[in-house]
Amino acid sequence: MNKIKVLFLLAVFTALPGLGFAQDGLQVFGFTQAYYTSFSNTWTPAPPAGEEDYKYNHMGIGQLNLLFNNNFGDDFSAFINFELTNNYSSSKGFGSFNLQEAYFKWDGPDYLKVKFGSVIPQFNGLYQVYNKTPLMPFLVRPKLYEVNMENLVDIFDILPQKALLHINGTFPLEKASIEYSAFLTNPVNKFISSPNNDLIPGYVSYGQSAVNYVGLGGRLGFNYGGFNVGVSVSADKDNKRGFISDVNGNEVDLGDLPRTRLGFDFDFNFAGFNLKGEYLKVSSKVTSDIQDSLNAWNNADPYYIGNSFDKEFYYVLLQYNITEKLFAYTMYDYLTDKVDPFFFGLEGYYGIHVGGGYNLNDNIVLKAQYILNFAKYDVGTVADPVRDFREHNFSIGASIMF
Amino acid sequence: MKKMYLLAILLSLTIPNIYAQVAIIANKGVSANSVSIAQLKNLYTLQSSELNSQKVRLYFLTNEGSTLSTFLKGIGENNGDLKKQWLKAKLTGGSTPPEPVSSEDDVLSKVSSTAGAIGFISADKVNSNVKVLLEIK
Repeated sequence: MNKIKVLFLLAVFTALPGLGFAQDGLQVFGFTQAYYTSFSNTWTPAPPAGEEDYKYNHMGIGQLNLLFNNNFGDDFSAFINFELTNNYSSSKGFGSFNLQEAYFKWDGPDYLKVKFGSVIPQFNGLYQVYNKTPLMPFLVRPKLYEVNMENLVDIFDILPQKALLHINGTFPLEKASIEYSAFLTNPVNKFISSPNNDLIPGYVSYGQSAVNYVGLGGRLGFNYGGFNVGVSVSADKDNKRGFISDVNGNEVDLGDLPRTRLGFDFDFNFAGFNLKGEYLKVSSKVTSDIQDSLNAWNNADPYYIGNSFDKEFYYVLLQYNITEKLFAYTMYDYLTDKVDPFFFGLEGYYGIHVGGGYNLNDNIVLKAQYILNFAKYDVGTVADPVRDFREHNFSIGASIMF
Repeated sequence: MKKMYLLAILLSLTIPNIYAQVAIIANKGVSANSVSIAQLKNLYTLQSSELNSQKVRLYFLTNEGSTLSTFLKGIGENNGDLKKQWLKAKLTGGSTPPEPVSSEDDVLSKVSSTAGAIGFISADKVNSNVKVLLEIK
């Protein structure tokens, strides 16, 4: 379906002049973020069996986006965003290449703009810009949004899926404005057929949904002076048909669980400071039978299985613009998926960030960042079952627009 | 007394005018005859793309002289913050940012010849080919 959308949009890009629309011309632009990272972790009092205190460096192109925009007169436009991550190489199996966004837009009155295609929706504060590195002061994003961890954390299992149909608008008041968005999405990726998840073989192509569910969501925001605050909600279903219930990989079918998301976000500018953050809670509706099963699995192996499918994320950032070019910040972030203590620990995965940067010019931002991450794990041993885990991450790099 | 007047005139000619008087100009096809500071700020920060329900096309003088400083002071924004908001719109498929123009003569020429256009120039450069919606001192 994504290939069809891209081909359709590219055909329109070239065909529309023949249909008589005024065309402003195709704009091709993009950005990239290159960086060096030094990473180490420690376990206290000691690593559990199968784990180690690791230390490694890596560097290169963390992300590169190629964007296309074409305006067809004043009211219509098309937008495409291709993204490559982690020193992408198809021959070596490095990184990923994704069609991040591809949509038509009708730019109606202030209160109604419509996008149709594959759209990153306006939901909470950071989602719409999470992969736009020139807009962010950090090299390593708050945990939920860090694309370079996508093989570790499925962020589209926590955030809403991309939207097919997205409407948004603002109602400007004299010194304030009310903004809204509402969107319709595909079901989450676990319902999308792929080589590793071949749903209804012979009927559903890879990249297409194998269910008749859709997701819904929206955001309502208020903007006054330098202060913006919003509330976001969404609803969809989670695929727990092949849920791995123990460390041996045994699967059980828990079905398709109704799920809701509730988010809050704020962004406050004052006296050279920017204070922003957001909170997201994802809640799945489970029957008492499923809850009893989760409790039993968790009692048997607390290191591996939690007793809830709920997920939680928040971050808070305080940035100070020392000059128009130089800035510094501190940030705290937290992420947990309560069913997965093996990765997220007993109390979640949280971190303190400090960093800063310098805007060399309008196109280049130099950045530096230090992160100290924490987690606590119950490894199930008789001696010292609870171990403290620390990660140190130091990164320097640059975000470049072209 | 005459010497005092002459001295005052000489001084006014030599003291640099840090903040020029700025005229917000519009194409004669723009239906609005005035714009408030709040509406102007909403337009240039991309909170709105309309004036009196009419789509407008914005031009932004990039020459960092007294005209630009007066305009920015008038709407309560700085150049860096505006550019960030425009960059966000560009990267997220949002509203079209203002078109940058390097000279006031070019702003005047584009506004007078482009339907729905709005821009800002020094008040003493205004001519009869455009209408003035607001003056900022």
